[in-house]
Amino acid sequence: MSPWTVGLLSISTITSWIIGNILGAICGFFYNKRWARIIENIAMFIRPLPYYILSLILLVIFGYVLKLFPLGGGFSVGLKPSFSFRFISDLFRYAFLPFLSMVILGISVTLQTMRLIVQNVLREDFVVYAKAGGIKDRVVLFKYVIRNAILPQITGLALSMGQIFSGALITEIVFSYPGIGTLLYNAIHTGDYNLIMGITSLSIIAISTFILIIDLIYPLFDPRIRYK
Amino acid sequence: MKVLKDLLRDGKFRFGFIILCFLLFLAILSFFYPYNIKIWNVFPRDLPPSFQHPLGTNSKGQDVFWEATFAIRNSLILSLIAALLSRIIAIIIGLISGYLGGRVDRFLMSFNDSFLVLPLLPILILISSLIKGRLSLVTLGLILGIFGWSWDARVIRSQILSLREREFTNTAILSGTRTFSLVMKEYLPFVIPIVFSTIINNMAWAVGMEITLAILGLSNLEIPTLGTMLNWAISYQAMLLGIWWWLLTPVVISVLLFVSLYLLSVSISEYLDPRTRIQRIGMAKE
Repeated sequence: MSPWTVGLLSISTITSWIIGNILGAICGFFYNKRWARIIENIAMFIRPLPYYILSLILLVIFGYVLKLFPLGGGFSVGLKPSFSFRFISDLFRYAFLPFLSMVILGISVTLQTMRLIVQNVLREDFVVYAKAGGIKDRVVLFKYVIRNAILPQITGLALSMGQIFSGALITEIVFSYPGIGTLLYNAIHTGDYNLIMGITSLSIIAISTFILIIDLIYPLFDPRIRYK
Repeated sequence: MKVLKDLLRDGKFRFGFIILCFLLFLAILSFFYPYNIKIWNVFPRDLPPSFQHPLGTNSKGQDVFWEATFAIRNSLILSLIAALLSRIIAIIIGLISGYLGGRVDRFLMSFNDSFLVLPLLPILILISSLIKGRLSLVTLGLILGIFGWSWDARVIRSQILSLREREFTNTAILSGTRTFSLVMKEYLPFVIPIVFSTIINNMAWAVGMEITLAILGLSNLEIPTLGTMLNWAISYQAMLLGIWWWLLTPVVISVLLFVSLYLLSVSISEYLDPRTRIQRIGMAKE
């Protein structure tokens, strides 16, 4: 069960985090351009939507109207899990919609937080000085602004890895994806307390490990922190 | 009223406010429905939208438009119950913990933090699968209210901590004000705006939780709410049968509701934040 969820969630979280940060930084940096405003407003409309509403909309559009992707499940009926090309392409086809729903929401959340942080960094003295010194906009953005704005976002990445569990539960149930979320839901429904305990302990261990890893690699990004 | 006028200048707030007023109007309409909404087969089944039934009828033989009005009303009532209860708890905990400090503060905050990290959804699924049949609107609202206060209690506490160090606190204590009336009369006015901006967030969260539970089939499906409407539509395979009006109505309404509540809360918190207020005045001058 677990490889399904871990694969889907880690890939979608990291993808949405990277894209959201880049977009957010660009939007925050060029805050008076028209297209930045448009991107911001789109994110503002998507962000409050809960997981299942968005997944339902995607299901109707892609699965029912356009018939591009299957309506649910992990892989086609009758296929055996193996490393053949056919199975792997099938895997991607079935994982695409849940992946897309989580990535869209993740991007809009990361984008907004990143935009706020970037706008605060832009008011700092060193950015004004760099701009006044005639350094190109692109260099200022990537070398000066993003490197400072990314620090709180890294902590956010660890926390979202922990928080994603409830989101995964909903997404997996909507798409009937064979992962930990579906397993947990069935366990709660049938009152299988040992299984609930096992899954909960597993998730607690995973979250703690993530936070520990983030704490350990934080000095790589932030030169102000040095472990004695 | 002056505050409302100031807020309505903001485009985001205006948009959200108009949508919310429209939804409230729909919710009030539900009082004028001539039949009992829980009765099935009042109208012929699966009619497409027409003049008589503006949003068609569903497979249970009910008019989707009227069902939607009841759904909005019930969802809003539930979220208000949850938000009010959690606000009351948050204000009490925040005030006590912020003003007294010391050991009481430490105890309350550790209690608060343990509430903050609880994985909510599994717990709610557990509770509602235990008392599924008897879960009325009010009970669900109270359960959601009990779980939704911890973050805001922290925010209120930090506000009180900063107020405690200010000049007027010393003046009030020296002039012989009782602790209770000091907290109630002097500190509460500072806390009220925070409460107002968080109440909207909390309402949106409560509606979302209700929809989640209903989609999983864990709430009382007799009561029409946004979530139970969705649940019936999905379980009757409305999408595959092509009864799009039945599935789309709750989806569109919940999207409108969430977006409007979010826009309201964003613009109110911007209004309360002194830094962005200065920016706004600057923009007005330009």
